[in-house]
Amino acid sequence: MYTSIPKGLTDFALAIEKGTNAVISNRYNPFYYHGALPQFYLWVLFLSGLLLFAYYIPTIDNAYFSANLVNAWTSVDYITDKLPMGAVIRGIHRYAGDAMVITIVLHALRVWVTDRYRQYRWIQWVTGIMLLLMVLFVGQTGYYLVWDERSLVLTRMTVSAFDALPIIGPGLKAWFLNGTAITNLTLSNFPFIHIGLSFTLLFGLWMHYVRMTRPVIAPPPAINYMLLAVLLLVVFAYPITSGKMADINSAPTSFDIDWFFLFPYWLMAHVDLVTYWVLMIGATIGLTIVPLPNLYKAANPIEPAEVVLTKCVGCSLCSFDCPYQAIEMVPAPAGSRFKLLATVKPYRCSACGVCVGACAFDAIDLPNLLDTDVTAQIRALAEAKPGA
Amino acid sequence: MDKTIDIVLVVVAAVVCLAFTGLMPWAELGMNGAYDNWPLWLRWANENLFLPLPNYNQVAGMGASWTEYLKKSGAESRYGDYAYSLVMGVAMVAAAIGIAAIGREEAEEKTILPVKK
Repeated sequence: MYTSIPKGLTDFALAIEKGTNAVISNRYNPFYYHGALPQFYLWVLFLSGLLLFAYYIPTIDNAYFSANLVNAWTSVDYITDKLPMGAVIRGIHRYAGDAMVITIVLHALRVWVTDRYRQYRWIQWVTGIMLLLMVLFVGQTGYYLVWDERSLVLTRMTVSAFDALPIIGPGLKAWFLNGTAITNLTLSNFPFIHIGLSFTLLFGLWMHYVRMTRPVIAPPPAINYMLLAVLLLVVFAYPITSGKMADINSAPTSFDIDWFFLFPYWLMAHVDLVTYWVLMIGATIGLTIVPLPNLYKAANPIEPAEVVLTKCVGCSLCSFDCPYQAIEMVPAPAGSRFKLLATVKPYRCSACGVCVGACAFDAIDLPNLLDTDVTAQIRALAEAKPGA
Repeated sequence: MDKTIDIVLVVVAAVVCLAFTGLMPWAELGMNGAYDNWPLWLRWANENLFLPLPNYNQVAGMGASWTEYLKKSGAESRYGDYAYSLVMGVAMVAAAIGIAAIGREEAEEKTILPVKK
């Protein structure tokens, strides 16, 4: 285990986990819920976004600057300055997005340093990278919605970037602008992209969990309170602000960078567009293919569990308990006394031995670890733990 | 953890919650703590029951520096909302610590080895 990871890194991560356990016990250790943390922030984003959406007006009608002007910027201004708790909700929405990116990156790092990203877990890694990209793009579209000067610059830079892509570029540009230029139709398209893609994240999450029998998707209440508390305190410490209203006839060139979401724009501003796309696509492909089994040969190849056909009674207990859905119950062969028979999907099996413990009939074994050896190891661990 | 500490934690948390539940809307209504702004029943209690109530005039300007901070940070209005945010954040930190402290004892799991038939 941990063969492809620098050992110091793994030891460091495990030492932090152990230290956290000593302080707050393993029940409330966020390292054991690292996958659930971004999802908690996703629910916060959905709820806070619902309120913002109710008051948001997706237009750019700013031909006549006046106090009574109603457009995207003024509606955001109304939410911030007039709506009770509007600024706080807006701040929560903004910082929950940042927190989601931070927790996703920490989740990915934890998965990587503990070598839990490849072989039978490749699908979680690949879908995780896709989810991260989607979250980044959804977050960026949130910055367009405010329709301040930064939104205008970001919109124009995005259009330029799409335009530089061969073949699909013009189509992407037309889709993004909802036409050929920045108009009211463009602003009506932004909430559609922002909210539509946000809900698509749920589909992505389903794919992320598809081979996990019991994914941990909700942290315990104490951690939830702490996550929400962090947001509320940051909202107070860094009140949310907007820039000047965007003027379609002006050409603002500088803006504040939110490094969690807008780093691609920083890159875009410093390199030509061809280099930008090469770097972005290269980084995406590089991250995605990390778990390919051929890239990292396991020091100890996994020997999948094997079903003892003469002993299996088709009770399905092993199938229920398998964490990776690697055991499928199929109709038993003709002549069998039982209806079902367990079969192992070798490419999904992690050789964790859970099925061996689940089977009450000694009908499943790990080739390199006999049932008696597994029981002996568990007994030794249990006896070594005081109070067990 | 000793049950007595649990009870003390619960009582302290309840008192703090009640106090803030009363004080926050009180502040929202623009009451600055001056004696004349006190509800009648509290004034009556102060004068007739001789309760050891603090002098609220001393804390009336306490929020000025916080408001100044918010203004410098870019907030333009509704500073009271940010006060709610701060207090709710602190309350949730306290709640998280309380839950973790009380739930610590349940974190110890017992391992039961299955006996195969």
